[in-house]
Amino acid sequence: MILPVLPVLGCKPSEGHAGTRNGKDDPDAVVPDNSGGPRVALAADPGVVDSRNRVDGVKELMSRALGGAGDGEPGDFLQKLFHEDERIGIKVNTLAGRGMSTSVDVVEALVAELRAAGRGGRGIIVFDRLKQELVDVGYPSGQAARDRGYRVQGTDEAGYSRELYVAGRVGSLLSEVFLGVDALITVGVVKDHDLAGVGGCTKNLFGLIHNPNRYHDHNCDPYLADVLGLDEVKKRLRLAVADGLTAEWHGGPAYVRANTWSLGTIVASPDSLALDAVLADIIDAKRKEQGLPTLAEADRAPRWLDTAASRGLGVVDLDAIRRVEK
Amino acid sequence: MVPEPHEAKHWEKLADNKVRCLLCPRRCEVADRERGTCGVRENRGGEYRTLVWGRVCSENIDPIEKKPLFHYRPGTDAYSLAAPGCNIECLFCQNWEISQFRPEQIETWERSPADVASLCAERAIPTIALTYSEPVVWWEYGRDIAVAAKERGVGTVVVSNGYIEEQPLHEWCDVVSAIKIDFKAFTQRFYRDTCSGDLGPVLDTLGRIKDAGVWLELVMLVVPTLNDDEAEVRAMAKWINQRLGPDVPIHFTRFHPMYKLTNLEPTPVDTLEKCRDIALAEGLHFVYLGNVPRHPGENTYCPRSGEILIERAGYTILENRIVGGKCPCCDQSVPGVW
Ligand code: SF4
Repeated sequence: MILPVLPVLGCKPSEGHAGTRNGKDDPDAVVPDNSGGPRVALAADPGVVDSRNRVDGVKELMSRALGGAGDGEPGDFLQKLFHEDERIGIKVNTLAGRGMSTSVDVVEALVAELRAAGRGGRGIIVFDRLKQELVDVGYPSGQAARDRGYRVQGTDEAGYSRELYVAGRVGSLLSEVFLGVDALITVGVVKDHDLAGVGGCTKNLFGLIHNPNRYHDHNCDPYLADVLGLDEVKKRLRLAVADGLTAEWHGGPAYVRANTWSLGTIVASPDSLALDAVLADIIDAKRKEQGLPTLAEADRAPRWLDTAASRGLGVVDLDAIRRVEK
Repeated sequence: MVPEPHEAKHWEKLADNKVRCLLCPRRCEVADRERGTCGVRENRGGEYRTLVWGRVCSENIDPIEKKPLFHYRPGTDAYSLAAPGCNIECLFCQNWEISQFRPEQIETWERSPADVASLCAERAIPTIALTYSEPVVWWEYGRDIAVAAKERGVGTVVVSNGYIEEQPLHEWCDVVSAIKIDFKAFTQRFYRDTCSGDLGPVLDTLGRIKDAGVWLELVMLVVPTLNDDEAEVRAMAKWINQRLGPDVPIHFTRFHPMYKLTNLEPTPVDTLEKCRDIALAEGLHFVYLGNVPRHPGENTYCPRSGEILIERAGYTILENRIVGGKCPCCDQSVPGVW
């Protein structure tokens, strides 16, 4: 038998609806305090990017960003977000190769903070769609990664679910690596995106589904909101971190060196949408400075942000977001 | 592993290292490192590449009736193959586990066009069918297969949704022997909401195939409540008669719940019979029922004498009475490739 018509084992309909982020339905879930608006913390030091002490500089930035996002010590913040016995997945973005991907330094600084806070007891897994892309960007494999406190896995190694997950107009199989973790951190990159407007942390979640190319129409609206509204995502997503050491104002998601600048910033927030709204603002400001049309003028306004916010999946009104410069 | 890329045809360069694909009406604008909607064509540094050339994900030897093509060499076999991908997404797709995936997500194996042609020539299989997924998105591979097959005296047929631009379609028509198009509905609403496609380009394709003189058959999967409205079926039959002529066969086939459309019951047989009656009443000569084995609607009848010309049970030919392409009773010639 060659024609593989396999049964759908079941559908998991799920709709985005207000107030269910971060495991609200789970009585044990730890929900960050967003009263007064979500905090989006930006820790900046452009000198870090090409510094000889880059690793230490990035650690310092990560600590400040997490502390700012939690309004206190980074360890306290992480302890509130995660249980000690959880397996934590860190979804990185490695599509664009070394130039414009989530850098190893940023991820290792995050892992160090998690370990210092006593989190990731069941393991920390750094993952993306393809193992080869992770390797190309410089992520270690096997024992070398374990020696540094995490594992590295491509979804191409683990495969996708047999089950189809449905939310709104999205119907997809999900990464088995993702389904195997208890909690998720999305670590995107600060960059323009040709279709979604802003790359960042929510677009990074397209790497959880098997068929992202299906959902690029209409500037990914409402599809990104749909993915964010998947029960499996809502249940796990706790934290968003953006690697803005080097940022890209135009030409993303590919790496176009001429369109990048040393922003030297790490951004963190428990609200992925709020974080991306801030990134869109940063990218637009840079585009203006470069004499380019804004994302809206370039016909790729990230409308999916508003769609997702209207479903209660986060906050995108810049006036309602507590932007904390650390 | 992402398969080795192969040069793609039918695209143009845009600013900022972007490309525009000109293969299907989506005309995807694709940034560097990104793929088109079908997920099998990728921009590599401003050059467009196909990731599915020579990569087979499904192959089988089927009766030609299974395509279904009822007026094309009945009772013969077709070596049928697919590469991954599709440019639309039907919520009821029967083959979604190959059509809705990227090539690196499913098992594929290598088959060069020359290998495919040799295999058929050596085993005396008269036809290759490009089928199961959507051959439009693996156009380069399918075209190269058809060229290699032609050189070995083997025919190629295409089973497609017809969502293709004019130029690549013309180039197909130059090398293939027959085309079957899934004519999904006669409303833009159904194409948009149920298939993420458009009706207009498919109508254009049907007319172009007819004008090119390539043998054409149509299939309409009748989905309860979504495309089974009698007025709609009548309008469709009228359009077929006017634009394509009464001799283009149409198969009304039965829907079974699948993929994302699992909340509907299979199509009642009497709905299919109603569709058939409407199409016959509108003057179409060859109207069939599909996925209803041993139904009299599977047979070919002479439009003049009413005699059974080909008697079928499922994909099996019980009797073929056509002689020299004609009805043995009244000498009426029967359109097709016999
Ligand atoms: S063939 Fe694929 S890439 Fe090309 S226009 Fe169609 S969907 Fe887009």
